[in-house]
Amino acid sequence: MIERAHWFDRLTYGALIVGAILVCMPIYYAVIVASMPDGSESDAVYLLPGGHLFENLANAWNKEGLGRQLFNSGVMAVGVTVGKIAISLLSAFAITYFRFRFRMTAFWLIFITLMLPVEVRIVPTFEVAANALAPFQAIIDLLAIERVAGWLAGHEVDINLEWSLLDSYTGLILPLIASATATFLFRQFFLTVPEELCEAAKIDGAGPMRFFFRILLPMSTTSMAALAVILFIFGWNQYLWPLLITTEPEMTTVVIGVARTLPTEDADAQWNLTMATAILATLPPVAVVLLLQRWFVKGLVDAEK
Amino acid sequence: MADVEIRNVYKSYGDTQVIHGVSVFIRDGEFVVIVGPSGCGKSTLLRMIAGLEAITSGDIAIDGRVVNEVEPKDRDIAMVFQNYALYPHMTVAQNMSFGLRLRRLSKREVADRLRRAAEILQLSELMDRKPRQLSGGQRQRVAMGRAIVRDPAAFLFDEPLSNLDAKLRVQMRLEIKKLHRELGATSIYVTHDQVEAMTMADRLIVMNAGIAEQVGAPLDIYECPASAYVAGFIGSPAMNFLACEVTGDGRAVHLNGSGELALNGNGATAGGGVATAGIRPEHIAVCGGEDADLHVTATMVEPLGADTLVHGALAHDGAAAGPELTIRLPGIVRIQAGEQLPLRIDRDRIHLFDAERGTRIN
Repeated sequence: MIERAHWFDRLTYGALIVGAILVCMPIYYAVIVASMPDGSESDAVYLLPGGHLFENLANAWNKEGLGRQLFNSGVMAVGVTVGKIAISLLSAFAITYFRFRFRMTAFWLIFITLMLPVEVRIVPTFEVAANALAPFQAIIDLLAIERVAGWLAGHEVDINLEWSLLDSYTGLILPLIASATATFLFRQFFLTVPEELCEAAKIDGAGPMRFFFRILLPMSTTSMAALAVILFIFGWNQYLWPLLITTEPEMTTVVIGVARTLPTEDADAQWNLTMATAILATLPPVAVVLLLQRWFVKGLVDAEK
Repeated sequence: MADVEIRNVYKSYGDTQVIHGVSVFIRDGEFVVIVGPSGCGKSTLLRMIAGLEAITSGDIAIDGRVVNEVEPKDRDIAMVFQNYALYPHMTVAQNMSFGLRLRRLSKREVADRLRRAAEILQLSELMDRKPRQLSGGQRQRVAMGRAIVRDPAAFLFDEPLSNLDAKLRVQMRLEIKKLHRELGATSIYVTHDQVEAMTMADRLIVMNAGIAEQVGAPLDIYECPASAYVAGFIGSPAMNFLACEVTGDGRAVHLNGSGELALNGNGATAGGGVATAGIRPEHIAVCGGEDADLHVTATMVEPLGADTLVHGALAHDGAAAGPELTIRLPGIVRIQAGEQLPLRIDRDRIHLFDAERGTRIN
């Protein structure tokens, strides 16, 4: 739409500027606070930088464990991103291209999980993560296999399966990996791929997996990149799940690290350090966005069919 | 190179039967066109030959081998799709060689075949382009190149020209025909365009509602259509149909309001009763008043230059009231709408069809 009216231009610019200020203000203020010297008033409002930004950043960086936390967050975010994309590509491929019994059931099951984010299912998820073999243990208990084994062996048998995912990368990543949203996105994309392409591949002699890897995957790169940006930020920003599943300091993520720098009752507030840590924690997602932004826009607009 | 045999093939989707028993033998090297309106089952038939649709009953044999249970890739066929179905992320060369590479042909062999196909189709300059950088005609050529490099026993074409503009369509039509002459491969070509069908086919299969109504050389079908349906489908503008009465000996007919027209040498097989007479627009001429079989009131005149189409309604006692008639007059004829024309019908070329079943009866 081309609108020539002058007042309309001004209105849109006005709205943009107000919006930009609203979005940028907290970030600006974080930078300002991060540049304040140690021991500044915590409830004073500053508008101009205090000149200690790099000093504070260096302090935050040198604080024990920050590097490790950033690394943990990185592993978790990348793991969640890669895992989610891989799983949802495959499941979207299955529900779009294969006709099998209970296909629609599978489809709706995936759909329903949209309504169950981690926060809702956190207790059962934690229980499974604490012992990933618990369901098998339940089956063993139910079938009284211990007693059967005991009768066979002639003495008492105790079967205890245990595989804890606590304080591990697997535990951090795996429970977050299923994604209905991404599955839907890829399904929608696959539906726009003309059926003849699949048939041409069949005649060319490509089996299903070859069709998937050689034709569908290369065609989905833009949507994968767009999704990767969103999912990386999602993985990076996870708070509740890492908080629950990690107890050891060397397994915590940086978001929790930031939270731990918040003042407690018996310690002095060091807002400048907190903000400096927060800034450092923001940099990797910003880098990912900047790096992939061209793909991101292309994937969302998707002019290329 | 191979022959293709379709033996009593049926196709159903659930309870709906869409192909009701088709049998055709396609000779080695023949160019066969399957023509029919949309929904007649022609594409389904082709896709069954390709192996993209299961055969409900009957057999399809390629080169004497029944292929009902054979995967598409092992049927030794190549298919050209209506929307070309090129892989968008691959270059022209990659598109054309994809199937060969999957077949693990040697690099040298692949390069050889690519070069040959590119020369035949004049694609050599475009081998590194992506499909989206090509025009419609070029994409069409790439799709054919992908078929040619396979060196298949049979080429299958599924309305390959219907996405092109009119001028390009004529050009590609000639190219495909030329290509067929060069390669001599068995080709099965599906189209709804009767001009394509008439010009390209060695043999035509006219399909209607899931059956093959008539199989034969294009001109044979044109001159001697087996049913009113085929007669109406092949030929443009379409054949005129008029109710008529056949005389007792079957040698002459009374058209709607005409005198007795002797059927010179192509009388009806059975005399007497009502039938449908089919007369092609070009077999009607304007004549002097006393020779007239019929009179028509012109309602619309379409001057095409090479010939003039006159649409009119049969006139009874000077009033235009009867059924519509189309007449094709050679050259430029100046006729005004509303004019009444005395017409004479070429008696050697009247087609008679059973009034109910539509089958030919002369």
